[in-house]
Amino acid sequence: MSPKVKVTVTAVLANYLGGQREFTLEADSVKAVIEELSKRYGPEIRKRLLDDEGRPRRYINIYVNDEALSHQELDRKLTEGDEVLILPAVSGGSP
Amino acid sequence: MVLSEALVFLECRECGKTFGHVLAHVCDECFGALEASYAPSRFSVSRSVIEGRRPSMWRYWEFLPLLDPSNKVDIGAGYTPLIRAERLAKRLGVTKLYLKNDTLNPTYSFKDRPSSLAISKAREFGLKAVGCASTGNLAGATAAHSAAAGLPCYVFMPKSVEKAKIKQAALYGAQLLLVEGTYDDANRLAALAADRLEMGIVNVNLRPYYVEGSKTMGLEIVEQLGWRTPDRIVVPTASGALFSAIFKGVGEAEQAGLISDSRVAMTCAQPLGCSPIVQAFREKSDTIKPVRHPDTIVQSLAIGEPGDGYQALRVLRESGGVAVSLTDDECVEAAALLASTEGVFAEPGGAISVAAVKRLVEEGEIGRDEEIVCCVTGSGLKTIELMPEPSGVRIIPPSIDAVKKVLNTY
Repeated sequence: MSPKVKVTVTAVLANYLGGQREFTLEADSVKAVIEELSKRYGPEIRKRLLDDEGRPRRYINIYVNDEALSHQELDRKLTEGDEVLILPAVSGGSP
Repeated sequence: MVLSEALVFLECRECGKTFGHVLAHVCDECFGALEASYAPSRFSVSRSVIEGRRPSMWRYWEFLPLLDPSNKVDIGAGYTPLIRAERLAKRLGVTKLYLKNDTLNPTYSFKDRPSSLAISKAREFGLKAVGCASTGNLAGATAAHSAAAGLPCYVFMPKSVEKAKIKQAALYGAQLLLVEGTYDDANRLAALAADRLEMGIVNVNLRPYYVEGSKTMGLEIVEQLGWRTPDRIVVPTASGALFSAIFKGVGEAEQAGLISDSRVAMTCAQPLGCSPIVQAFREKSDTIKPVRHPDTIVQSLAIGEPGDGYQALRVLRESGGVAVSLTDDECVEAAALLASTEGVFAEPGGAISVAAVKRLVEEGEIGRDEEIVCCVTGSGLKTIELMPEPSGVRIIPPSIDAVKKVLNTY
């Protein structure tokens, strides 16, 4: 069984998640969190968070237990009670 | 006169989606950053009208996104002196050097410019509380403007910032939340507070408006040079917001017909221990790698995830500028040199622009005959503990002999 983790998002992402900003779900990686959210709320959230190659978009920041993940760490394993925070970058954008 | 909302709106930097005049900072489609845009007719103002106005950042009213002038919170930010620095120029080996002395703002840093605008917008949006994430200087600026507006203010900043900055912000009446972590940790908490508590965090959800205040530094430079650009503007850089805003301001001055040519080489200076923008520029990379653990005493520039980093990279490339990182020692030495040659007392982060000119001239990356403006962004009084013990201090007995002895050594 996958570990239970807490997921937090802000209002602009909650638009694609039925208005909800906090979730408890079972997922063994950040990638699995995103898959679970798109299973529950539709594929739109996956498309907004990840590009066509499955990498997080540049202006999305993901944190696990307050530690920022690099864009290569989507597969990082989660353990019971981990807290995942998904935030749009405060500013950002492409060069 | 209250402006029509059609004149000022928000636009996504990435996908171009336009939004009305709203409190938002992220595009709901692509999560790109929003920035303020203006109908072309908004910029209709002449040089002489501006010159006839009070010396304040608000003399560039037509370039600022406030609709109702009665919402303005103005404690005197902006229109700081642009001074010709001949003695310093000689020491650096250049011929035409100017200092834009933003230590002379009401709370002693350039942050009064964006704060004045952001708190005015908070009033315009009817917000009940405001705040900021800060590396130190913004804390004082936001707290002071909030005090003047009568709004409660909450500051998120790293516990490690200089004591004077903490005390200053607290004495303006702000509630300080000192985070046991980096600026980026403080910024993340501020973003959550903005989201959950419906506060106006000046550099998070008020950011598209906030950054517009910093444009006024660029507008002032061109006006004070007689309505033209210098060859180069050198900017202390952390998030990249000021750097990008100065360039935007200069570009809008051309759009408005106030100057005929907006070309200027934008030059970015960051401390070596936290220089993600410089690194991406030097490596010709399109990716800015966040610095997870900034390692510098130049706290005011210690932002590891620069919010406007990509915008700054774009400006560097478009303007033909250059980026350089400086050691802590170079920044401290530049602050001392600036004080002893020109009488301008800056913090090491504010004097990093001077260190940058010194290094870039030595390395032949900028020409000795260029006309250069160094932005000096914050006062040294707030970082006194970073400055070396000065040599010209003596304790003497209360006797004329002692005085004579000292004077004889000169």
